[in-house]
Amino acid sequence: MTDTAAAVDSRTATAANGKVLLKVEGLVKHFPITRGVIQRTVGAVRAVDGVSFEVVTGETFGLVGESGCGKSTTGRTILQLYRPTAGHVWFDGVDLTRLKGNELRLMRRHMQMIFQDPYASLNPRMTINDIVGEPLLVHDIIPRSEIPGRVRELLRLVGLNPSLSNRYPHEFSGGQRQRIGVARAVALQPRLIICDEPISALDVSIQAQVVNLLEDLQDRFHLTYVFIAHDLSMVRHISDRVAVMYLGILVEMAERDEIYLHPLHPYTQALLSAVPVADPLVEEKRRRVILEGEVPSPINPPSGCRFRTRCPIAQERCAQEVPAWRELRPGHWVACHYAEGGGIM
Amino acid sequence: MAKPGIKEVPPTAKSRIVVAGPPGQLLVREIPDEFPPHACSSQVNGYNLKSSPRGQAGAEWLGPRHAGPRGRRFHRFGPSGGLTDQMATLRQASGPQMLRDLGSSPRVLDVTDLATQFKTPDGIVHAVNGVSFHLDQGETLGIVGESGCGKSVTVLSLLRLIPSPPGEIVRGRADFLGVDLLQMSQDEIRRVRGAQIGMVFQDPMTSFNPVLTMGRQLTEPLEIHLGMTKTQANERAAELLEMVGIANAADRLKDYPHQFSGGMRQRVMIAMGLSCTPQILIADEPTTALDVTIQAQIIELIKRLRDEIGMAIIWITHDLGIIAGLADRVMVMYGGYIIEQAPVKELYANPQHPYTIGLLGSLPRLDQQRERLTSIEGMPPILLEDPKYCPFAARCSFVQDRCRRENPPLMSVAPQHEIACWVDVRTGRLRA
Repeated sequence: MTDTAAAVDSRTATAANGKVLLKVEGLVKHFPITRGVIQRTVGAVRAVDGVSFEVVTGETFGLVGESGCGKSTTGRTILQLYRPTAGHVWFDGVDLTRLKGNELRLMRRHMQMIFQDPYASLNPRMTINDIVGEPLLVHDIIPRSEIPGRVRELLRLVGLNPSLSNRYPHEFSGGQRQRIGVARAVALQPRLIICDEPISALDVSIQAQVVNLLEDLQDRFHLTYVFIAHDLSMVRHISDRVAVMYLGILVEMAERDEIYLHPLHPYTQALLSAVPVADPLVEEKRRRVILEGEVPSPINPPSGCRFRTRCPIAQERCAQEVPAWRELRPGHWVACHYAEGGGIM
Repeated sequence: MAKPGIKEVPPTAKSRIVVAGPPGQLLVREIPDEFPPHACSSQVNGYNLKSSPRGQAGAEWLGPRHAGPRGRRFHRFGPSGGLTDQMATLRQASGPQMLRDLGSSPRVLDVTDLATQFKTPDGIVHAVNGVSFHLDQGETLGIVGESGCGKSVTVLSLLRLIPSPPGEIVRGRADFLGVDLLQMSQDEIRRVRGAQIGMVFQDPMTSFNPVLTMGRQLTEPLEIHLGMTKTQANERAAELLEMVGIANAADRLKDYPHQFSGGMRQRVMIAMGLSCTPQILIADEPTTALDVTIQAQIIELIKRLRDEIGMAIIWITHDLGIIAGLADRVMVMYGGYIIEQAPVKELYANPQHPYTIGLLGSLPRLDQQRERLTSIEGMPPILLEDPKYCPFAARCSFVQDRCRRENPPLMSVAPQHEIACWVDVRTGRLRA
């Protein structure tokens, strides 16, 4: 950790919550759209357009939103898998956006990722041994001779039989593959794991297994998760704090129970009401807000409030003025002009 | 226009149109060339039959609202009617006659002991192992289960869409309005698919032909099953797109599938599934690939169309949440068996099979906080033999010796509530 001045600066604890591990500040990621033989830039997909939040050590930070809202891009940009267009990512006081080459590689062992698709994120030509052992080999943290033993330990940790370690990914089911992905992510004993929809490709009963595994590992190794998902009920289950993303920006952020019991932004309210509850009696009585249409294109987002085109309570003002990101209640942030009015519920 | 195996009325056939039903009778209309246009206008089953200015017979769809209480359909099979005896029975049975015969909720589908197997290099996979269920008119049946539990194979078997080889329907009966779907000839089953039993597939991205316009794909069933002309089919297709909430419907018909978003494609798929106002709509995980907000739109759409058209629905899903607000009755499948079935409220209030209980426990709830999810250890089985034991025994926390020796049949535990389990989960002991 070289950047000591900044480290002290960002280690200021947030209200009684402990140490900030990850601080994202004004993160922007635009993907240029090019045209013609000289690849002239004619526009940009504004995938992430100014996102700021902090994640405290040991907590699970849920990031939810519809497909195309930029949540996965945010996750990847945090890890510098995409270089941000603007903004900063402070990890334990070090600004990752300024690191390059070996310095960045040294930081990477503290931050890992679990991917959505357990079928595409494991190299089909590598054995499980190689897949789980690769991070240990690359980062060279233990002698090579100890790697097989460590791999067996890791497989046992995630609930797989270590005797299967010479097999290839295709010999495993989706749930088992995701366990392999988890084993690979925890191999370096990272402090932060970005879980990018780790369970959405799995069967219901298997989802619960993987979520329970993630929770056990968190307790055991004091891990910090950024949990990206579109399944709001699972995010409620696993997260301590939740942020809702829409079209590249955050629209609401609060403690888990606060956001689920008192959602302030009309989009959050609509999202929550759209999630089916597994109880016919509850379903009968629920009020549902059905949003019209789909998420607009991030190439040319609506002026003012980005949600206004689908918002049932949008006013003239929403088209002109970008709503401020404000703390309406302690720890409860929202970007809506009319959040005080109770929204649409 | 002629499709192999389907008798078509040539576009110039000006004189005859065959309509199935009102109640159980075929209605054949002769329309002479010189017939004045206004004189042959008559409304049958929601269609406004009339001749075009060129004296050509045609049928105009007036929308499901005009289609009578249960949305009877319009059929047209070649000049001879093109009906076999079997199909004629089917037609007759589908009329309101049937409503009278069977009381208020007649069976549209009655499946008995259906079994489907796949021959693979590893052996014979017993995908569906003798399932029996029924579907009443206007009813929504939810089939719940994990991947590989046989839910999709069950309905694909009904429609005879199982690729053979390797698949084979080894036994069973599936009476659709009194006629066994499994005994029909290829020609007959093809007339049922799409026309009387509509289907909405899981993946809206891969279920369309990417090189044909949406319009072409929507009009095809209309031309084949309803014998519409191109112009009529186009008009009807535009109406259908409007019905499922797609703006600028007439223009969008010229677009290709890639020009539609996932939610939009699923809407088109639903429009296609309902285009011939089928008696049964089979929806195979239609919202799994979609976002929650879009999922809510699609569910709302299906509910609305169900009320308007009155078709019965088989909704396949792994999401117990969706089914709770949608289905009348739920069937839980595991390892190719039905392991529990009950009316929806009974099932959620009083689940009896350990697997159903496990599934419900593994689901995080939006409206309450759970400390830890119940997980069902292990994985769903692939059955390479017809098991002589309970297929869930290996993962079951209530397992007893008997479960490993004997496969439990479906037993009634409450009115309309059946489970296949030896153990009473309330006591943890074998049932008396």
